[in-house]
Amino acid sequence: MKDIIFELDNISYGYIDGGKKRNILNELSYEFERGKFYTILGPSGSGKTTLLAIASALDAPEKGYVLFEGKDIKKIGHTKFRRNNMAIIFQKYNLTDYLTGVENVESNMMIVDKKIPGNNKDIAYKILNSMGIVQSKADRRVTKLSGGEQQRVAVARALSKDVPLILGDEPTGALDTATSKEVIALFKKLVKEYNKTIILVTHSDDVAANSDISLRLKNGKLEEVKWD
Amino acid sequence: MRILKHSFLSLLRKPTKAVMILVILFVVFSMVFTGVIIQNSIAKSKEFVRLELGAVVEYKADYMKAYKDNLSEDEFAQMDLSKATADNISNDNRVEKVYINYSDYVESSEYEAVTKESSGGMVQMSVGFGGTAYFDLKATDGIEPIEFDTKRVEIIDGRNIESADDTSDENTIVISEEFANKNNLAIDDDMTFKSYAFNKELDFRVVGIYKVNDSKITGNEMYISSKVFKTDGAEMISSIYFKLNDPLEVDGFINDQSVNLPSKYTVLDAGNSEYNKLTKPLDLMSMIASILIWVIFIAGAAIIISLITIFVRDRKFEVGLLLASGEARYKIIAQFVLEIIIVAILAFGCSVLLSHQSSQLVSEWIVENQLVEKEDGSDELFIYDGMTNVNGDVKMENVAKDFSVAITFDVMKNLFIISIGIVIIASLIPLAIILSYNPRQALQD
Repeated sequence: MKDIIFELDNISYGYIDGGKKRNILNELSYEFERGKFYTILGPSGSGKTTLLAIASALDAPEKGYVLFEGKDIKKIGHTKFRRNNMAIIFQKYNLTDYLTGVENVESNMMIVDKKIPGNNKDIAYKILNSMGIVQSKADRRVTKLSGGEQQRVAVARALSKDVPLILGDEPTGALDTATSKEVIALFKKLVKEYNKTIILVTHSDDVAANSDISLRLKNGKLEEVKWD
Repeated sequence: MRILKHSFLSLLRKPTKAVMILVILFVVFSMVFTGVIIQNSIAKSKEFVRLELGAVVEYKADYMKAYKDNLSEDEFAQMDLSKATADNISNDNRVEKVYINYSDYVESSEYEAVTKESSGGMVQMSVGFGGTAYFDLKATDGIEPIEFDTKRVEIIDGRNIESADDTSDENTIVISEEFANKNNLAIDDDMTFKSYAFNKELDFRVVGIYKVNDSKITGNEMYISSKVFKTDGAEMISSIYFKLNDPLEVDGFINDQSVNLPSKYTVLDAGNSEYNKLTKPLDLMSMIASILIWVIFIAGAAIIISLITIFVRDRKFEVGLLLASGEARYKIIAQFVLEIIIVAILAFGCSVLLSHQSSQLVSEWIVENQLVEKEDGSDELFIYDGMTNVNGDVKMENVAKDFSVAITFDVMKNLFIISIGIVIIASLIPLAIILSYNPRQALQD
């Protein structure tokens, strides 16, 4: 029996373009299993980012439901869902610029409702270290870090919440090939060792090829991609 | 904890806009504070004038108005002061004592009047043609005359007029020390005056001698029993004073009791013209200060709202990031408001220090250039009417002395509440707009 952690049920979403309604998600449904690494492919404008925004409760669908562990996230509360059940990584690092790397990670830990055991700062250093950010760099303002380092901090920030679901919007899009490979390897490790569910939106076939299940967004619906 | 930590870190590490807000708040607060402090000081000075003028309200005929309205002789007769009205007004619980006074000018060629040099070097004369001297007989119903009550004169020999004198067959009199010395009079001596009002000779026996403590009293005033003025059923009331418990209740008392006066040609007066003359320059300054406060307040609030809007708008992305991480909206608002409050408290502290200094300079300038200078240029600011001002002279010099500017705790507390209130409202408006966006919108800019 499948262990479904996350479900998109009959999701529709559209916008008015030149006076005409354009549906980008059309009664889309899909079930995501716990402990799997998913990628969603699709051309620009296909609605990947919108789908991720709806999945992460940053936006609401016109129709349909988003279910986490069988519960409608509306009932959980969008803010609570974002705080306690999921983490999101954006393409452009999305860090607070006046904080250091470690403070950025620590701040995310302060937001969650459940108390994380141990000293938050020590845990933050540890996570950053595992991402290749040593303490001297972790103590720098994030604006003083390179793009790759900032994205590692962003990933560390997402991991620090210790949530079962991690969503990413082109998290490797701004990284060089070597760093991108490192981040993907880390995601795979999180899925394998910590039973996390990761859903990444990407336009990269290489990234998609590394995932357990690749999906393509086509005509407002998700379909699985079979790699040869 | 996160809110507090991030508030401080944000201010320390991205201080540019915070410093801009600090400077604007400092300027606005300082100017408003100076204005408010000056206004408070003016209010205090007006209170001081009222206290100095005393708690005595005179019920009197308004002859100026009567002449202006060209009243007939019969109508003039209706301006007589009414004892019944005085009794009615005296039921007011603000009234401590009522003085119903009688007076008559009398003449005598036997006695020499006291002559006194006034402040202007003029000799005050009470001597008419042919060596006849004129004197002022005064009496008060039931109680000591107000001059004794307010220590403007005091008995130094013998006794004052008592209620037993009202029923005695003999007329008693209290005279001044100077008059007694000049005319070799002592206790138990007899005196005779010719009364204008009664058109007859009146005999008195001296029972007391008083000393003059007020330069406005010449010493030619004689105090007698009021029974002398109550012959043939007629009562010749010359003036009625109400002494109130508190000088600061004077204005309220006049407002409330004026409606009980029987004629529009009688008034309640507490040195109103003197009070108005003394407080006119203060009122003008108060008005200017008030306009200044409002202009700065409104302009300042507009600038602060604009600056805070920029401050918060600039951090829209941070708001989006916090919302995406699941931070509660109220906590985000709390963080931003806390940052603004920290800046406002700093600005408030600096403003209090500066406005304390600046308002002292301003008040010194006002005292030197506006109040005291006017006194030099115009005699109108002195009170010459000693009838109502039973407590003595009130000079602008004394008012100026009281024109002190100190920031009291109450003033500071009120200013703090107002200042923080403006700042909170100013920061809530842009925050509410930003927080009304969904997190996706906030992150997209």
